[in-house]
Amino acid sequence: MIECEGLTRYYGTFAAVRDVNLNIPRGAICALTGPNGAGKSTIMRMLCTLLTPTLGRARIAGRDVVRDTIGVRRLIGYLPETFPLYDDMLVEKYLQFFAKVYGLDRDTAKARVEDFLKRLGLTEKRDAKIQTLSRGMRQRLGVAKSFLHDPEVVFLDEPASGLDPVARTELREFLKYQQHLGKTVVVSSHVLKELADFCSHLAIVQSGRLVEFGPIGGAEGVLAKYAGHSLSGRRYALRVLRDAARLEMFLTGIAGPETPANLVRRDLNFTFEFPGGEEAAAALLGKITAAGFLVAQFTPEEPDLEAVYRRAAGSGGSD
Amino acid sequence: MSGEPPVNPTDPAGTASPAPAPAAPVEPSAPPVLPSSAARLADKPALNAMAGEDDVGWSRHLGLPFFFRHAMPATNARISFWLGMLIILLIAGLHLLLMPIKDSPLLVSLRKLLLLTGSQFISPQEGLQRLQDTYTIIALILGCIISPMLAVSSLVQERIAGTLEFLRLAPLSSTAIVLGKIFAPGQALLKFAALLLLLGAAAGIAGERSLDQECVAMLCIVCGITLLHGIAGLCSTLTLAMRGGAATSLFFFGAGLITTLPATTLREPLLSFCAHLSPFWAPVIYFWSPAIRGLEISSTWFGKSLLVPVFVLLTQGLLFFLLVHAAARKLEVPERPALPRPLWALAACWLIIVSIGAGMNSIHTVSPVGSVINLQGWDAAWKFCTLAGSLLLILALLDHPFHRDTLLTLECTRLQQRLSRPRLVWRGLTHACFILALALALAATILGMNRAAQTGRDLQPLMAILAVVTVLYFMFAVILEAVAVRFASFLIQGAFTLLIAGIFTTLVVLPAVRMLDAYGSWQLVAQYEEFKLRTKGLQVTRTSYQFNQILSSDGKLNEKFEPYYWEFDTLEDFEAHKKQYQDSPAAVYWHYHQGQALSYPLLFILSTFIVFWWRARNYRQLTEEVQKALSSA
Repeated sequence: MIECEGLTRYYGTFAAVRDVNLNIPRGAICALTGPNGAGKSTIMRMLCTLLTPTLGRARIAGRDVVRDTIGVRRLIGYLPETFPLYDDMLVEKYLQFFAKVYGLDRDTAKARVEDFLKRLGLTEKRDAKIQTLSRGMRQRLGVAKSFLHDPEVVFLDEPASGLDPVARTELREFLKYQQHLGKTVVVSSHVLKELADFCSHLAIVQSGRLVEFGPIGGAEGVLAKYAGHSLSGRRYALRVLRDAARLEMFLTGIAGPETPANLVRRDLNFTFEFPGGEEAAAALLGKITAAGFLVAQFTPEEPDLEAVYRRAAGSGGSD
Repeated sequence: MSGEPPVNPTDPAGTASPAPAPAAPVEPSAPPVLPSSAARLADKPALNAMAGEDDVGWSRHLGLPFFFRHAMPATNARISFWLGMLIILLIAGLHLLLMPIKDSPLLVSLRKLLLLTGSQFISPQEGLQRLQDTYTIIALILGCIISPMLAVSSLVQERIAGTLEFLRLAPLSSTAIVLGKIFAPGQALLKFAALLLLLGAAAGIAGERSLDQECVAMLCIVCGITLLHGIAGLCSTLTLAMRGGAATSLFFFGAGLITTLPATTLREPLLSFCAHLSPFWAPVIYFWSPAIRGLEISSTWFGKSLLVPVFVLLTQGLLFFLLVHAAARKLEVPERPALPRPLWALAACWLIIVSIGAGMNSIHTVSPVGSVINLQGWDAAWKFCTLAGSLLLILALLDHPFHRDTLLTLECTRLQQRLSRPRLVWRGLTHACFILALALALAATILGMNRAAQTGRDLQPLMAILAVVTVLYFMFAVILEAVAVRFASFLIQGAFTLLIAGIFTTLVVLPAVRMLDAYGSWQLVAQYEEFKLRTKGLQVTRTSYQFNQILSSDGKLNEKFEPYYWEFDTLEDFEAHKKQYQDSPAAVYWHYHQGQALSYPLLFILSTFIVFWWRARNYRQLTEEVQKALSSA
């Protein structure tokens, strides 16, 4: 659905985005993440036809973002990170205005505006002036505007910023529902926990380069990919019933290549990274119990998106 | 690698068709229950625009969707409408009261009661004409000043706020957005102005003004109002400096030019058709001048008065198209030149056609020998072409593609792609060459018209001037490029361009002035010498004022004239000398000031060399800068 080949954008001599290759399938919700200034917004703006790529090309549903801008604009919705609104307009009128701009007929526009007002909790504010809305409400209105014309692909740049926890949950549910409708959504955020439970794909950008891209779950997914190996090993959680201080000394005193690293102790709980495989981990557990420690828990931690991000960004990409 | 992700089975190519069918979700884990309205919407065709391909032309989106953005609240709109109607009625009522109708006692008593005066008009016809004048003036103020000002303000504010970006995401062309934005803010005022013009025209016709003159005047006014909105659109997309203040100032400058400049041709019968381009001057030409000043202005183009409305329509139409096109391009990519070269060439072609049209206009003059001279049209035409062509060339010159940021980007991509680079000397010269080509085409037209204006005239001085000016335009383009490659700041660019262009202009103007000065002095001395030779041996005490000038108080030659003095023994020697130099200022200058005459061209060549060297150095620096940035990255 979204294809990028060698997408590059220079601002003078500064390469904001370089050589990005992406292929996001239809119906995917792709998390685009990376540190501030990594180039996420630039990628989005190029895909939304607001910026012309310096090099490479991008296509949305087969339409070139440079050659067929109008065709692409019909297919996409975009919510920028900071989006100005017509402050003197009423909420409902604002949505109706954009429904007309996008060429929706009167009945469709009316039904769709009604639906989005209800779905995004804006019904009570329909007759309010936009300037009176809170940051969160404005964000909801922006989301409604982005989905109003029923686009095939939606780009959301930090959509959850300014939303309270309840609203964030609602937004998550809304995006899941959009995914169910077959929409392709690209969400940019650096709050990875927000993205973890509804995104199907992950793209990590650093210094303008795409350092990781792929589906999140499944045997070929990035989680599985990073579960088996990392820079300093897999992370384990260990809990003992007593003698935590002695165990800490014991663990730090283990010599050799398979030494627990990045040890963190919290009362009787420990977390550490261990470079060995499962057999080595079993041997380590044997050493600990043989030393007389009463182990209540010894489990490998499943890698989350933050871990994936940390490792992918740390290694500069898996390729 | 990251660029080779697994492909979804529902879309193996990831590209599918341009009009995609609803797709299956990627991970359909426990889909939420669809609300009934959403389910209904999901079945409906989503977007009207999806049904028809590329239906985003001017006709469909002639700004109409944007009117909602600026729509007044219903109550305000109703109040404004009735207030407007009341004003129209009041003006009409006032004029009715001032009509010379004496047999209506009610009217007379009302007039005396309200206005304390008698009738102001000689006849009802005059009253109706004045009514049209009043309506027209109000319509002009609304349509030519207030509405375009609102357009500038609205567009600039939207650009500053960023709301225009949301519109750019819609499937609308930038041209449609510009059109919508320039006509939307003042739409109510424009409708009111249109009503006033219509009512005014009706009153004018009732007041015995001719229908065809009304039609032409209305055409000029409507075209003028449209053009001013086009200027407003371009000004508001060119700059955001001073929070829109610069755009407003720019608009006033442009509007001032378009409304006052054509008026300068009003007293020149051969060019008076140009005055029709100003919306303010059309009523002057057709209504006010004949009535107030007793001045009948008869305009023709290609020798026909019928073609004047065609000229107005085509010129204003072309200008409006160019302005809106330029505004749309600037809105899309600000670094891009406002107009592509073919459109600049089109503007130049139209200018040449207009000039030819002026040349075809003629004043028939009977010469002393009785033959009819029919050539004055070309005289006006070449002067017009010179002035308008200079303006066109300056605008085309300033609309250059050399922006430092763009050049850096190009250089980056070139180096990254290891693409071959054009040779340094030719790089970027296409714009200068295009300017040169335009200048040459216009110069050729001017020469041809000048030749047609007066057969037998020596074209050499004009050819020399045009050749120098053409070269200067080329150099200005090169200077502009060199400065833009080096400096990012607009102010520094402007200052450097002015400085270097000033040096070049001085190197051309100064020798020309000195040459003419030398020639004048030589002529004076020659007259003095001739006088002396002719009056040799005679008792002549009277000397002219000029001769007194060349002599100092003690009767010796002034220092200024001394170099040109050459004492001749015989009148024949003097005649030979005079014959050799009398028609050639350049020869005089060369004869008497060889050093100077040689130094100015040498300085010009040296300066040209320095500019090209500096330009090449700037390009090299640019490349080094890019290489440094790429290696550090």
